[in-house]
Amino acid sequence: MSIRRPVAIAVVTVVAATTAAACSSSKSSGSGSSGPKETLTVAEWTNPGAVDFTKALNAQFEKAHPGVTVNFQNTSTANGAWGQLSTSLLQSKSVDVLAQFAPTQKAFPPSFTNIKPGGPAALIEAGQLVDLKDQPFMKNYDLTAQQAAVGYNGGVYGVMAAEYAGAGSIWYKKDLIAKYNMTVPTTFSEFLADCAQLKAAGKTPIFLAGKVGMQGGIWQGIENQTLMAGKQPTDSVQVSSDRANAFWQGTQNWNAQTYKDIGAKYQQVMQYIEPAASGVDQQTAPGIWAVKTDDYPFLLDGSWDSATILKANPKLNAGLFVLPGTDNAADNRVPVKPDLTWVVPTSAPHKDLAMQWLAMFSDPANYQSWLKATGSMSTEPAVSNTGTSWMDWLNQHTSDSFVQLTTPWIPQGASNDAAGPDYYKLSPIGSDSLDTILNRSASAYTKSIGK
Amino acid sequence: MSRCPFGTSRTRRFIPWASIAIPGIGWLLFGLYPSVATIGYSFTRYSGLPGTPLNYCGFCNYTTAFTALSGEVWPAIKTTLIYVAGVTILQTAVGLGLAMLLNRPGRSYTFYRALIFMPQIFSVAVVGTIFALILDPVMGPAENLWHGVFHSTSAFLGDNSLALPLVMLVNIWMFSGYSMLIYIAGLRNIPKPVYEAAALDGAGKWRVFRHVTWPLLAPATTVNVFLTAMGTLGEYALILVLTGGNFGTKTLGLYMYDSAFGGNSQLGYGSMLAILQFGLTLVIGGGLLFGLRRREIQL
Repeated sequence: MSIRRPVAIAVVTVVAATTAAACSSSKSSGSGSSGPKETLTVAEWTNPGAVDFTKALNAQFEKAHPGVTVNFQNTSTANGAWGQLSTSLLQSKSVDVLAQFAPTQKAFPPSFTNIKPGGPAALIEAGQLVDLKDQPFMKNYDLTAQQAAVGYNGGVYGVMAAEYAGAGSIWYKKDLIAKYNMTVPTTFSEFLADCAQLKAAGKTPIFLAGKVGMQGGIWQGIENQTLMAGKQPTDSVQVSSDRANAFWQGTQNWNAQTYKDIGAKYQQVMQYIEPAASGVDQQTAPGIWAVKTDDYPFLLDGSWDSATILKANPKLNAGLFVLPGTDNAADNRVPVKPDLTWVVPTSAPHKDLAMQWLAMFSDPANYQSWLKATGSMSTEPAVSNTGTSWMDWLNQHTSDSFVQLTTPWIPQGASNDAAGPDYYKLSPIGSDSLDTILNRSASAYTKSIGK
Repeated sequence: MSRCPFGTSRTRRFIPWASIAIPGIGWLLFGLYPSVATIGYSFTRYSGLPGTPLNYCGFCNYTTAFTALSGEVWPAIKTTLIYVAGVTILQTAVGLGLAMLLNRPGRSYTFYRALIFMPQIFSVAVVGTIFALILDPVMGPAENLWHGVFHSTSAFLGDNSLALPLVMLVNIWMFSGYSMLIYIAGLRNIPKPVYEAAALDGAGKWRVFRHVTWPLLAPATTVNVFLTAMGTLGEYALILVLTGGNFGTKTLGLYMYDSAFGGNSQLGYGSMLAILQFGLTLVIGGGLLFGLRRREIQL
């Protein structure tokens, strides 16, 4: 038999398959008999509250835009899964609205550092994200906060939709605390005294996920309040920038007395953590803490885990406060971490629809639901996250909150120690003393900048 | 002239080329191109994100890795070497032990062999998550066992001295069934008369193993040691799921993955680490192959 016949059959099959694929492709993105059909792709990482809200918003969007289908994609941030998904979506130029962590101004180091931005900052610098500054829905947001979170060269390249009490934020069991006649501590000494009293009563005062370094929140909480003491909340971006410059110029380093004092306080707090906390994972910590109602009065965790905590134990009477890092109550303000930021890639196939989706998201009524679902603090001045019992303390202390300080600029390839103390090696979780850790960090930082 | 199995003379010229071209194109696209691109990226400060500039910087990433600037590369190489050596030696030993134990006829032995091989087919993420839950120091069953035996608590995967050995043990648990199968194949290739001769000479079990079985298993040992070492050198997923590379478990593979695809992705730096990893693989793989083949010939 001649070879020509099978070859001809194969060619016909390939052509037919290609034609069929082209037909089915045009069906989903082109026009059909029932009007144009379009698919808007929205992607975010998995936070149970945020995912539930986004699904509901997508349904609302589809109802308001007949012929439009929202393709919603999400995955966990654990093990780099989210990074892989978002990069794949960007590579395929198929995503319209994408969640990113707010890069903040630290992600754009001055040119003299010769550090190239990574993550969303690299996308912004390369012109891969749409400037949203002039979009009508941006009027709903505090422009200064948006610029601090995702601003670059006068543009605003996303909508920072969520910010959380991060550094030093502590969940507490209201009923358990009340049993020992305690109220939310306002100074560092008061907090230590509460921990000592609880320990004496046979409780393990603090639970945390040390396997992923959550203990760093204790250090960062104390550090933020110490460095911001006596300053206006609006100064925080400048304080971060001044510190970064001082480190780069060599006039400040990790072994300065300030950091020794912060470290000493950190170690005092760490006496009261669950002894095996360094093996506890972040994926299990909020749930374990929530169901164990007779112990662990405090959980060191961000306010973003509200949905997980309340899902694990809906009856839990929980609250959230920020670790008082100094003995002056007025200085113990809430450091706020810019978090989930919606961006629109310049490669988005449906930019107009993306803007309409963001406009619907930004509608005050929808945004109010978003806040309630995620436990985020509001980035829209006209909307506040009220009506949630665990946020009572936080709501009373948001007026003087400040944007969480960022760490100095670190060149690529520098040792982890250069970015600050290694909480895995510092005692009591590790075996290294505070002096050893700080000197190692100072030395690593000096080497990393080539001085 | 004999009839060609491929048909007429015109197609005869076409068919062999097509046969080579299809896998060849696949290799060019998915083998050679990524490898060459990795070498190219290693000379840049490329973020790896679409549309961002390459930022060619010459040998900057290599300079960073080999000067005092980087405090991460050398500890990562050291951890990798400990990990590779530990897993290769123990997994080979466990595989051999299991093969000796289960190389018998009978359905029950077939069942046990399948059971031991089974972890190999699970995804690394599943195995990692299961062991992370077992080793949870507050709620995990391992904690009860530890407390019962040592009357103390342990952070297990959060303990600087235990984390690496535990990750190695999980790796060995997962892949020792594979080593066992290779050894069973090796055992079945040993001719029976050799054992009969040894028995006639009055050799006991230990002497038979030492002087007959072990030397004749040399080819299987070569395959096992080489494959385990090469597989372990590139391991990062299991470590990522179990410890995230913390507590002294960051291998070069994980460091590369973290640098290239982590939160502050820098594909350029990660590519340089991939080239280092390639170099390390070449040295270790070449050394092992040379040594093991020589041993085979001597035996």
